[in-house]
Order: sequence, then C-alpha cells, then structure tokens
Amino acid sequence: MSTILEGKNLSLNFDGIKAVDDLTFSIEENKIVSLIGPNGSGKTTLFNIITGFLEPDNGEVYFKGKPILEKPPHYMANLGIGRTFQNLRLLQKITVLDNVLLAFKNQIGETFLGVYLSPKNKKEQEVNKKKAFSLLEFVGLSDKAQDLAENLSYGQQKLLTLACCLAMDADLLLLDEPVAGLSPAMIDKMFGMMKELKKQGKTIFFIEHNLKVVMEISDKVIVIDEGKKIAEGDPAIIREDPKVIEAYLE
Amino acid sequence: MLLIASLGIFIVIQNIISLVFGDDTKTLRTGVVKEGINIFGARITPIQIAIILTSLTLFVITSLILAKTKTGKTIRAVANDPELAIIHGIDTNRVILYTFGIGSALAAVAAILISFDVDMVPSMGFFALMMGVVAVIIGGVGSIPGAAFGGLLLGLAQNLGVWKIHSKWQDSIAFAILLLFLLFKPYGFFGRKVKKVQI
Amino acid sequence: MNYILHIFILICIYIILSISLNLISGYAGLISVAHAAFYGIGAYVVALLALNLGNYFLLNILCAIILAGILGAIIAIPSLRIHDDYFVIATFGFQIIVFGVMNNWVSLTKGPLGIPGIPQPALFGITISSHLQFLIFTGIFAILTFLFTKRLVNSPFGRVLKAIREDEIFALALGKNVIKYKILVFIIGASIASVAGCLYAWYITFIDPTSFTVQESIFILSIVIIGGTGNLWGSVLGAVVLLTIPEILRFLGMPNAIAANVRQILYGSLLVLFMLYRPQGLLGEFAFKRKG
Repeated sequence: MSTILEGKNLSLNFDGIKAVDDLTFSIEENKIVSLIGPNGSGKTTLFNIITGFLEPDNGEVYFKGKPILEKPPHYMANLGIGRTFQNLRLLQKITVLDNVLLAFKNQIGETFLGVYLSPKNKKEQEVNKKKAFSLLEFVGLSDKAQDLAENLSYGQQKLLTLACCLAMDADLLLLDEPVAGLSPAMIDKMFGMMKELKKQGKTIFFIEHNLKVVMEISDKVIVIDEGKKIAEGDPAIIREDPKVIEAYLE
Repeated sequence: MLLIASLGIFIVIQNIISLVFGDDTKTLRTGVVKEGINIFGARITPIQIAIILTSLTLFVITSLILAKTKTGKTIRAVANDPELAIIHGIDTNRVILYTFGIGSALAAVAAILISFDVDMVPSMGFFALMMGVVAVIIGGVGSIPGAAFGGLLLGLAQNLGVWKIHSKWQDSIAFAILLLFLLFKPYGFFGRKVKKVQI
Repeated sequence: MNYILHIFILICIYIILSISLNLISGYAGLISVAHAAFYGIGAYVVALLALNLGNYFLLNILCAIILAGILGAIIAIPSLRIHDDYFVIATFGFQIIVFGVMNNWVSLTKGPLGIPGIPQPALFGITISSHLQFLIFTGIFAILTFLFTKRLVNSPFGRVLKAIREDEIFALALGKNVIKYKILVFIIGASIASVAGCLYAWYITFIDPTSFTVQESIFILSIVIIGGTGNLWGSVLGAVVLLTIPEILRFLGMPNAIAANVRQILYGSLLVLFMLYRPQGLLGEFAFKRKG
C-alpha cells in the first residue's frame, strides 16, 4: 500500500500560539483515517495547511510523493485533493445541480475561448449533467437537483458538499466534521457512503470530535492535542492509550 | 460597500461646495504675504511652522490614543478581527462610525491648515485624497507612524522630483511610486499583513 | 430631433461602458475606478492613429483594444496577488497616471487642449457622419457588447465568476484558478471599454482629458450599481436613467451654470442612497457583501 499523503514536521505559529507543533503523519492509500482531538487542537488548521489555505512556518507535505506546499489551493484541488468545510461552503443562490456541475474539472466552457466554441461546450455540459445526476443519486439528492442549495436542510447540504468533492474526481477526500449536527440516521448514511467510496478506491481523511463515533469506521486514528500529535494507529489501541484518555478528560 | 458609498459622498460634497461657493480659487490668508524666516538657507513662513507643529502634535496625540487608551484598543480590536470583537460585546458599527468621524475631523484640520498656506479650490479634497492614499500605502496600512512616515517621504519625493522633473508630473510621480509599492512592497514599511478571510 | 438622437448615442456608448464594468465589478466582484482610463485610452489611440497613420477603421480599433488589454493585464496581475481592497487602490493609481499622461504629455496628446478634428469612421465606402448613422453604428456595438457579455456570464465561465463572487474559498477548493479569472475578466472589461472610447472619439471628433477623469470612472460605477450589479439589463437601465435625468432637469429650465454640479450631486446622492437602502440596485441580484 502506498502512502498517498504525508506531512513531516509541520509547524505553524499564530501570534505566539502554536496552532500546529512539529506534526508528522502519513495516510495510506484507500484507507479511512480519522483525525480527532479536543476543540482547538489544530485539526482544521492542519487541513488548511494541506489544502494550501495556510502556509506553515516549517515542514513538508507530500501528496502521492509530490511536495505540495507553497502552492495555491486550486493546485491541490486539481491534483486530486477534495475537501469540505466546517461551515459548509456552497453556492447558496444556485441550484443543487449547478453546484455539482461547477465542481467538474477541466471544463471547456470555463475557458474564455471555450465559451464561444459552442458545439464542444454544449456536448461537454450534457455529459457532465449525466455524471452529476448519478452523483446526486449516490448521495440521495437526485430529487432535489433543481432546488436552490439554500433550500436544502443542513444534512442535505452536507451531502451536497460530498457530491461536489466526488465531481472533482478527488482521490483523497478531506472531510471536516462530516457528521456534525446530523441525525443518527443521517450519520449512518454518511458512514455508509464513506465505506462505499473506500470500496471505489478513494482515500478518506476526516475530522471528528467524538471518539466512539469514529471507532467503527476508521482503519487508523490520528490524535492531536494543542497542535501536537499524541497518538497514531489502530482504533482499538488508541482507545486504551493513556495519553489520549488524558487529552479528552482535560 | 462603505468604499462605494464614500465615493458617492465625495462627489456630492465636492459639488455642493462648488455650487455654494463657486469654482474660483479662494484665499484664507491674513495680512500681507511676508517673505518668511530664513532657516539654513530655506525659507519657511510662520504659517508653515504652525502647520508642522500642529501636525506633529496631532500625530502624537492620535498615536497615543490608539496605543494606550481603551478607545484606541477597541478600534484596533475591531480592525484586527471584527467577528471576535462582536463576541466580546463591542458594537463594531459604532466603532467604525466614530473612527470614520475622527479620521474625517483630522482631514478637516489638515484642510484648514493648508488653506492658510495655499489657496482653496473645491477639488483640493481630491488632491489630498490621492496623496493620503499613496502615503498610507507607502507607510503601510494600519500604522499611524507609517502613515506619517509615508506622507513625509511622499512630500520629499515629490518636491525633490520637481527639482528635476516638471511640476506637472507631480501627481503621476506619486502614483508611479504607489504602483511600485503595490508591486514590490504592498504592506509598506510598517504595515501588518492584511488578514485574509477566515477559513 | 438631433438632440434626442445625441442622447441616445451617448446612452449606447454608456451601455457599453457599464456592461463592461459590470462584468468586472458586478460579476467578478472587483471594484474598479479605472474604467474611464480605459475609455480614454480607446479614444486617444483611435484619435492619434487616425490623424497620424490613417483612418483605418479596423486597424485603429484593434490597436485600441490591444493596448487597453495589455495595460489592463499590467495593472491586474500584480495587484490581484494581494488583497482585493488593494486592487481598488491600484485602479485608482492607474486612473490618475493615465489622466496625468493625457494631460501632461503634451507632445503626444496635446495635453489639456485636446485633439480636435478626428476623422469619422468609414466602413464599406460609407462615411458615418449623420446622427442617425451614428446611432445605428453605436447601437450595433451596444447590442454586440450585450450579446457577447450575456453569452459569457451564462456559460460555465460565468458560473465560476458567480462562485468567485459568492464564495471565493469554495471556488479555490474546487480547483478554480481564481486569480486567473479575475485578471481575464479585467482585461476583457478594459478592452470593451476602450471600444466605447473609440466610438466616442469618432462621434464627437474632439477629445480632451476632462472626459476621462476619476469622476467619470465613479459615474460609470454608479450606473452599474444603480442599475444593478450582476444584471446586464440593469446596466442598460442604469445608463438610460442616469443619462436622461439631467436632460429632464435641463428641460425644467435649470440654468446651465449649475446644471453640471446638480447632475453630479444627483448621481452621487443616488449612489449613496442605493448603497444604503438597495445595494443590489434596481435590477441586481446580489449586493456587495463581505465574503466569509
């Protein structure tokens, strides 16, 4: 199994506070890995570093062996890293379908010349529409395709963000708290989809607070606290790790 | 949004002034134009000395207010992180309002001072706006000493420039400097990095 | 009658200006006060080429477009690397410098005296000279601009612009090269504005720097905002409204001496009022919001 993502000695200081402190980790291809830790431990910050929204003071990040630091976020996205956000970023004023269509890569219609070269453009949009519908079916939103994104429920919007990641053809999915605020039924549905995506060859790296919740689905767990990695490994072992228990009891 | 509204107000006020007072140049000078005191070979009039002293004083007062008083800290807090400020119970809209007011009042003082030295036209505000923008960029957004430094540097550059280049190019020199700074030193000499949107 | 045609011709020219600025500021969300500079560049290029090289319609207009595009790129590329707010300042600086060049480089542009006697355009053997001919001429350009822009904003390209406007971070996370889009849109908008400048020069046959000031840029921005950002018909409506109101005033007998000031006070006040109470303009679909 090859390593799809690894970070080495990542550090980031925010006005004196160590958001990330000498963090080293690795994610293997085609696994589901969870990143857990108490509030403010640096989980989202790590995601922001990996996806190019923040620059660390030190360290390196490799995706499929390629160094990816100091590149703009769209570069990572085009390499195959998709992510969702804690505060559910979406285009609220357009339809669900349009949101997904937006996410497809390398659209001819998105280039200036492509706009005026009608036949190729139209054909591509037709093909993408079909793909978009099948993705919406996968997440269970196909009947909402023509609704405005803002009219969806919270849980449905989360499913939409997942569909967008898939439309991006991402090999690595970074999901920031994918089940936070969802009903138990929805949580099961989300986990079901994550398992299905793993079967399809994707790698999932997700942030979660709840230790118990991630146990059943993760192949590996990485625990961080105050920017430092305090444990990394099999869920069953992590659960008994005294350092982890201490971090959560504090 | 404030930016655009302020552009609108600028147009409105300048034209009201034009309407009410006319477009001709007016003077505020009192008494006979004297030759000025001779200091190290340069000539400086009492009015100009008054301008320098007043601006220095205001500069020091403003810096102290911002650095030491509660009001000043509130202003800086809002500038630094408006959302966090709201969480701490600060009425950010009011803060922005009175900061705007203070800034405008300072501009008015500058205008009055300069009117004693040179003449007034309705478009003088625009000229000051231009120079102010350049000074702030050179000095760095968010720093009062930076703005003062920028203003000084700009004034020097322009007046030294006039020595070699025709005076009509003064404004263009100023903005060429501006563009150079935006290219190579966008945060000026003393500016903080502008905080990008929280992710 | 000619006077009414004159107003309509100006409306067409301003429709072209407002649509192109709407593309930059309304659709891509980049506030620019440099539009009058590109407008002026178009006018001066056509004037100088026609008087010094020859009245070649296509060649002259192409040169104007290319120069505007290049200058647009030169301004946009470095400024967009930083924060959007700095971009406004950069456009402000660019506008002042261009005005400075127009006003001071007397050997090239005749400075404040302006350039008179610009030859009228000749197409397929017909010289466009009467008001009616100019109306058709500028009207066609206005329609072309409208259709060209409409196609652009309703395409996937336009969808990316919407994304950039509403949630830039989302757009980046989806792999869209946001800065490249902003630069491209600015270049396109600048080039179209220069076309309006060419039309203006050909029509009035006399140009001088006072038509291309910061105040003019703000005026065009007002048309975009009052008409409605992100809405092409809004730009049309805005141009019609802001160009006919002063004419109505003149009809009501307002003396010329104060008409110019009153006109500016009016559109300045409208701008402020709209930003306060209806920031999406008359027909717009979104208001300038701080993205978060």
